[in-house]
Amino acid sequence: MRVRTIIAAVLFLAAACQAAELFDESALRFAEEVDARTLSLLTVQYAGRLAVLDTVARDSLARAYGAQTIDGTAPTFAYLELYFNAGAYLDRPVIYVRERDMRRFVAAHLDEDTRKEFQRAHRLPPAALVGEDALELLVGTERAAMSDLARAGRIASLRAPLGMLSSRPEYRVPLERLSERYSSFLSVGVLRIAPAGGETWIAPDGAAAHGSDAQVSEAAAMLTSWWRLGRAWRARDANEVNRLAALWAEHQSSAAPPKPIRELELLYNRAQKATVLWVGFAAAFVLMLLAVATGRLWVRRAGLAVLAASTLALLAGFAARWVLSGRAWYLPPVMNMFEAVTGSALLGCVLALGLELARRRNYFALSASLYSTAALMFCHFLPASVGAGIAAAHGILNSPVMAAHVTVIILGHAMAGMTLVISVVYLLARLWEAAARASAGLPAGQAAGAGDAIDRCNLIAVQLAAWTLALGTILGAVWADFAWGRWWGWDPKETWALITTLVYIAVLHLRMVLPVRWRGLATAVGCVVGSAAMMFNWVVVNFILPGKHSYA
Amino acid sequence: MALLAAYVGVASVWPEWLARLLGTAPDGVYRHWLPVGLGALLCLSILIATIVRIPLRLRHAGAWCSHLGVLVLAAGAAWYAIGSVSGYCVNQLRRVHSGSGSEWIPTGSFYLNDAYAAYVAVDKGEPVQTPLAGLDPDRGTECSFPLAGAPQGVSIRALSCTAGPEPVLDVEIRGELWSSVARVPFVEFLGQDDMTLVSLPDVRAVRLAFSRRRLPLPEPITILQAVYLTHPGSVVPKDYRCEVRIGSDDGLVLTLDEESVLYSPNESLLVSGDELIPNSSADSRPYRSRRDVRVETISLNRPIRVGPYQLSQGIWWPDATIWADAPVEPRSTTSEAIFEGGSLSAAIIFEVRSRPGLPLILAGLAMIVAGMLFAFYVKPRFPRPRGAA
Repeated sequence: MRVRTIIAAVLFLAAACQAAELFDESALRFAEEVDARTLSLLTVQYAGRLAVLDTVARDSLARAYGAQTIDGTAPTFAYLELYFNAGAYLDRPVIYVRERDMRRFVAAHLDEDTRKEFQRAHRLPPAALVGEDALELLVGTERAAMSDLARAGRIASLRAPLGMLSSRPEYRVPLERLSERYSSFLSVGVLRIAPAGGETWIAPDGAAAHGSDAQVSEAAAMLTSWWRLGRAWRARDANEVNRLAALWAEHQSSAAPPKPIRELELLYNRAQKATVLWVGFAAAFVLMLLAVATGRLWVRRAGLAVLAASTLALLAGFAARWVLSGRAWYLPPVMNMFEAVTGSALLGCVLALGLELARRRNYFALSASLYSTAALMFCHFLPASVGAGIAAAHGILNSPVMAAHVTVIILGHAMAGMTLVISVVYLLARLWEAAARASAGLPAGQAAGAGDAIDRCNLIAVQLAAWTLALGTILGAVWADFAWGRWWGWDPKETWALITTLVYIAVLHLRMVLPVRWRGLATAVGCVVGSAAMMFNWVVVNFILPGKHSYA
Repeated sequence: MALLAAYVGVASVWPEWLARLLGTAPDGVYRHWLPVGLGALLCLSILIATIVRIPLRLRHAGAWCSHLGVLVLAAGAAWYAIGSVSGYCVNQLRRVHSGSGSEWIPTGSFYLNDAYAAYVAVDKGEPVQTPLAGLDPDRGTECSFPLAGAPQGVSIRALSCTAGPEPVLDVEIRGELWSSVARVPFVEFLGQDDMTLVSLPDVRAVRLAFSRRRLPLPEPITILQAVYLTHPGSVVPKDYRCEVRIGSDDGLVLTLDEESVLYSPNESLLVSGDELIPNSSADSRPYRSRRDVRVETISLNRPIRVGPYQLSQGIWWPDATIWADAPVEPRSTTSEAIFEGGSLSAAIIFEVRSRPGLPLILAGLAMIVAGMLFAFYVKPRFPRPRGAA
């Protein structure tokens, strides 16, 4: 009975959370009638490659709305609803304000009701941001009627604080960014949806700029049906929308990627680019922690099985991204922050599983699962900050040496992350042992039993971290010599890679000069310092310090 | 090692603060005597520790290899730091008034990265440069350099350099009965119109300039074609590619059936293996270049060699988007666009660097990693000597 009550309460809460925030009932009914799958699989030339419309929709919504979906509708539906029917949402909270200081400033100048709404959703109505040009564009493209504009014009409560904000230089850039986000919905130029021969794809208003050869003319003629689709959308004519969507799918079929590839992209997007696997890695971590605590063999086996399954799934996501990116075969998806972090988690887990098979300790799997959980949570909850979208890579990254450099370095980072976890476990074990000895009235002695086993695992991880970081840095120097014309330039990224490597090499040297009883402790403390240097290099240097590694 | 790591860590995060503390320029914190001295001490301690503590046995080959690798790397890096020459090769695009479009001006020299010079030209003559050793426009210094190239009966001397956003060199011009001081502004790369004109009392005129020091390239280079490639439907650069003719700038000498044919430097050529085919004419017969003239492509990740120097893609000025036929929203039907020049004044700058000591550096780096791998994974397979703990 209690279980049923709990399930009912959870379902009620879930339903309450899914209450419509933006779309009205007619829009939600329309969402059920529209063939969102066909629309999602349409091809768009986007970020230097051919992507499905679902990808464009998710990226655009995440940028502008702060979420990849609205009111539980398909991302493509939500995107097209705001795209075709922009005028209806001029006075609704659509534009997500990410900057915390700006939120506080705006909220302080709002009336009570508006402030509550703004503080809940952190979103502003587009009318508070769009200028006269954008309003003209809205009317010109039939995406807003005069009644829409008149209704939007009544939200004077937002105009005042935004007007004050625009006069403050520190907020001018965030304000402009907000306007740009909404403009991406208004601008038809974003959606290059009509193939016009070769690598050319034309946006709904872009035909004129591409000359007048036969293929461009055909594409331009096809684009009139895009506007018909828009009119049918606003009229809530689902049959006509579905018919035109099927027509577009047919029209694109010869120029678009094969359907299985597009299906793969859809699946990859739905799986949040494989970052949802953090749940699997977290489960593996809990099981491995229990295996360490209890020593039960079946718990270890279960933990390893979950870790292996999660790793395989992550590997599938990695392979899917490699295929979808369309890059050269020698360029694995390790070219930006998102790809490097997820790739590091994958490589760390593969190596940890190999070490577990060879050494039969629990600490490699324990540390790799926790490292991967943290890495994937970082990518899952901060996708915009890490650049989760698949995009064409800068030409200078197009080198096998560069790919080898990044791959080895991120393996080194994974090992550094694993040494942190093993070191913390070691330090906790030493503390536990010291407390146990003190309570039993025994004199303090050297680490024994579990402590020694943990230290041996840590040594293996430290050795791996030291030589992979050194080799990765060296490969980077070789690449920099022919790409940038110098092998070393004291760029912050290079400097901190060197410091991280030096810390691990220092740890290994310390072990040789210290008495046996202090080696484990010195290694653990050194690894905490080394992983701190690694994290500094990955987070602070990448996001804060200026340098030549800005492609990543 | 800890001190050195701490120093470079501070230098990478707070370079301005450290530079103020040490009284050096922000980019000079790594060349200061303190990190160089710490590095030298580290090398000395590695050498002594290796000899004293590591037995000379096969079992310890990894430790020996890694430690000697550090020393080899340090020697190579020192050679590189002292002997390397780095600079910028500026290729300017010139509008051709009599013909159609524009042409690339052949380049026979490059500008050094961290050395400066004063230039003196009499009337319309070629400027003569005088190196200003030790002078740094970022810091400003008093100096007294007699400048070469002055007209007869006149002496010209650099007096001081004023630092700032627009550094200025004060130059004294002295005749038998008169003297004056001219303020010459710093220009990064010396163009024909960048010289300061000073009229002398005797109707003559000298032109003065303060710029980077110029060194000759072993062979002149001329850009034949510059192509900026973007990914389709995107402004993300895919490649910056230049076809460069290396050799005589009197015209490209090609041979066809032992017959020499001269082509103008401005004529585009297609390159197919060793074969060069005139691009614009209907003549599609394969020509073979003479050995002293060659055409190479310089692109991202693919530098070229000219004598002891490596030339790699540097700056495309103005902004690279100008070079594509598609400023922000690509509008052409192809992602490949060839820059025609038009009335734009533009330049492509190659980075030039000689790399002495690089083989030593690479050997040292390889020794470090090979030694580590031996010590970690091969050494444990050797039987431990008796009595070892």
